[in-house]
Amino acid sequence: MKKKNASLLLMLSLSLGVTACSANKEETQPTSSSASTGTAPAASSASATASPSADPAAKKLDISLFEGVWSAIPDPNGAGIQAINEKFNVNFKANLVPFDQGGQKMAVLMASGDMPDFVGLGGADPSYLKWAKQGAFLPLNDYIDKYPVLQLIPKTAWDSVTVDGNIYAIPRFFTTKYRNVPIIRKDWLDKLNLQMPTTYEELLNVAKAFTFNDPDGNGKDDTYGFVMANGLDNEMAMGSGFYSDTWSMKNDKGQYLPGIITDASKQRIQFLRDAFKAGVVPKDWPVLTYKDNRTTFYSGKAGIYYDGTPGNKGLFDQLLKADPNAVVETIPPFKAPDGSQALPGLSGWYQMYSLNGKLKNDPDKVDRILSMINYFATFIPPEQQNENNPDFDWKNGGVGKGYTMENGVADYPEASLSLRPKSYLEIAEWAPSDEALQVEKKAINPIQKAYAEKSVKLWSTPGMTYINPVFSIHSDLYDTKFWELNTKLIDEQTKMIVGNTSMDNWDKMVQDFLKNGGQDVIDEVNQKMQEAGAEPVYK
Amino acid sequence: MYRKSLSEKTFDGSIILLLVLTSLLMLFPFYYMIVISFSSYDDYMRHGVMLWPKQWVLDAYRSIFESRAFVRSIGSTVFVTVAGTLVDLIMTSSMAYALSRDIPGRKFFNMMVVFTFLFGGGMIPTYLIIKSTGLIDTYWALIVPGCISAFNLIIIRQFFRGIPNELNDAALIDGASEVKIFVLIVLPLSKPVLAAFSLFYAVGHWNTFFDAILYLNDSTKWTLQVVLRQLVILGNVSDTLHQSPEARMTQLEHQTPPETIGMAAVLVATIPILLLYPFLQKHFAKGVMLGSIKG
Repeated sequence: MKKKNASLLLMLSLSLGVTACSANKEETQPTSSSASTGTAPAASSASATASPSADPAAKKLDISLFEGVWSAIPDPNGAGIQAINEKFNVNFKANLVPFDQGGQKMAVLMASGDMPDFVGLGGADPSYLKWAKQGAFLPLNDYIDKYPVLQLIPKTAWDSVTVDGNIYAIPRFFTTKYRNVPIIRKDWLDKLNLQMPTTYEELLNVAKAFTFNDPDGNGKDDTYGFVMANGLDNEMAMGSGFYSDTWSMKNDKGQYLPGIITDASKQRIQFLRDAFKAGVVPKDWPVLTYKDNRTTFYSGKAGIYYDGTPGNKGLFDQLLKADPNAVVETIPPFKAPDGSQALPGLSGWYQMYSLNGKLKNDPDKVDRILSMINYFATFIPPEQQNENNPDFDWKNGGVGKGYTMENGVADYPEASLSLRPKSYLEIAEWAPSDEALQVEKKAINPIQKAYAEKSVKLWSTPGMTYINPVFSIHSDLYDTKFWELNTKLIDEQTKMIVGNTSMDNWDKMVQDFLKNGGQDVIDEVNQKMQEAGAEPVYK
Repeated sequence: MYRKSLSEKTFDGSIILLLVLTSLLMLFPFYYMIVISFSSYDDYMRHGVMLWPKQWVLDAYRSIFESRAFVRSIGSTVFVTVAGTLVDLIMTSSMAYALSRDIPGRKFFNMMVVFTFLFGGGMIPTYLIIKSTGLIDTYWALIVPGCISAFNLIIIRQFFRGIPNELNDAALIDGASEVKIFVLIVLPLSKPVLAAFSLFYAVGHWNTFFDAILYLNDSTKWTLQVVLRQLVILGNVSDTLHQSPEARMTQLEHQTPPETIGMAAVLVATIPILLLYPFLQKHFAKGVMLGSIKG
């Protein structure tokens, strides 16, 4: 009896598995072949026939989204999503999961043919390129002209998501400036009569003074010069030339090198080694995380940390509580061995949306999705971000409900997450420029406000922002192999900093890196840069 | 009467001391969590490590129990744990009993069980099966696929084999069917082993994490561990993986809930399952040992 049932069940499950696999194959096959032959004309003709129809918005459409998100997950039936359903006449299903699980679930959904109508992706990574080449996504070349916000997206961003001439994703805005760079307690400098450091030697002296000369004046030996964390993510990189992921120095063959093996990085590691020896950083830094570190800095126990602009209000509130007289400033970049003196810029976009390739015969749905994206990504200037702007008010669920206004600045309580339509389609609005964001105006906390104003001014200096040439290329070796090798380099450098190995090992470390595949990465990256005409740019 | 010599006494004493220290070492993190969860966030920020709360406050507990997602997820987890453990025990013990009897094809099925021990289907095929059996977005997706663990099955089977055959024969002569023998004779004799494995299964279900994310699209059905993770880990940068600076900045922008709330949530999520241990412990050691030795 039992046996029979068990074998029946087994056969059933096996056969289901087989049918599911074969069904999946049938579904993906035609899509991939049509994508490679001629989807673009087909799609454009389809949209042409659809546009004259009376009112395409009249039909209620089911639209599904899958995305891994950084923020908390809103209630799937919250008031926010109902507002979206009404406004766009859709039945919107947003399947949101925590960001670090998103990639894995996405892979399962894609492999099992279960891709929703559109998906949020982290970037143009190897899996995106693979899926795009297999025809999983809808080419958007013929659609994007119709949506005003998409016109604001710069060509470099479109280039990054283009595969074989087809645009398969809509990049989302991110600043080019305001990356996290070293920041310092200016009030401590003033109190100890020190100048803003301009070289690593001066920086070491400042760090020593911050540690041993009681900068907070409480009579206790309880401060650190600076804080650093495991993984050595660009610790104390005082300018774009010192960063491990920038390409700006050349070798004798004229090839650009990744920062992590250059003399600039060697200088930086030497400094960290000296600093560790001098005892100006927490002894247990190799097991500390960034979260530990920012707690240390923002509770007034460390003099140097690194953060973006305008930073996080909650953290500045902590600092205000710990020391009301604190002054925080960005450290201006040092002159690097390559002659540059700049802050490292960002790529200008982060995360993106891709549409399901099967939608090519459903132009109404494509239009509806893109209209939603267009609406949510439409920039609302900072001075209008209040209850008087109907779009702002709607996106955030209504004043007094989804958000509150305090001294002209909106605050978004965690408790009303599900009331804000924005929580379900969290797109950064495409700003015409970084300055248009006026990040400094949004700060209420006085320490944060002063910091942001100064920092924005520094970033706005012409030529201050270094644009990494690898932003404009796709290199398989760089995307995969380089980061493997990078981990080894970081391990070696960590050993040097804590004094386990001598700095004389530097050359051997670089040689090992080049021998184990590093040179191949450098060759490929340089070749692709040449093809794309990409060079380091200082904006 | 035998009296211990001085050296024996010091030896015993030092062992006791060592054990006490070791257990303190293990209890301290728990104790620390309790202290922090009852402290105010300001005190935590200002003092860091504390051995006693400067001031007892219930803010952290209030805020997690006010969170609908958290309370709802406790309900989900309790349901999955109770229902799942029941289903697991029924399925595992009945199959184990069948395989412990001399039935034709027993070897074949034993081989099949051992096969799943060595080779798994992988995530995507499993997902496809769950999808095509219509289990997506139901709690059954968390219960059915793992309801028979090959390892547990083998141990329970060995235990059943250890029950004297004479009992069976006697029951058969009295006219009992196999089902009756199983329910009325074998199961009552197997309480220790069932208790041990219900603990194994229950802990497994209580800790359901990735399956919930993978199979449940409706986040209101998510289990405690998923919600807990959001409270504790969100905003912690994983330093082993390469991340773009944009990703890192976005992550740092999203502030984690205060540590006090994280600690309270961890305690609330751990204590219920921890409470099972003392009740099942006496069966636990016995059950595991019996199954393995008599095999």
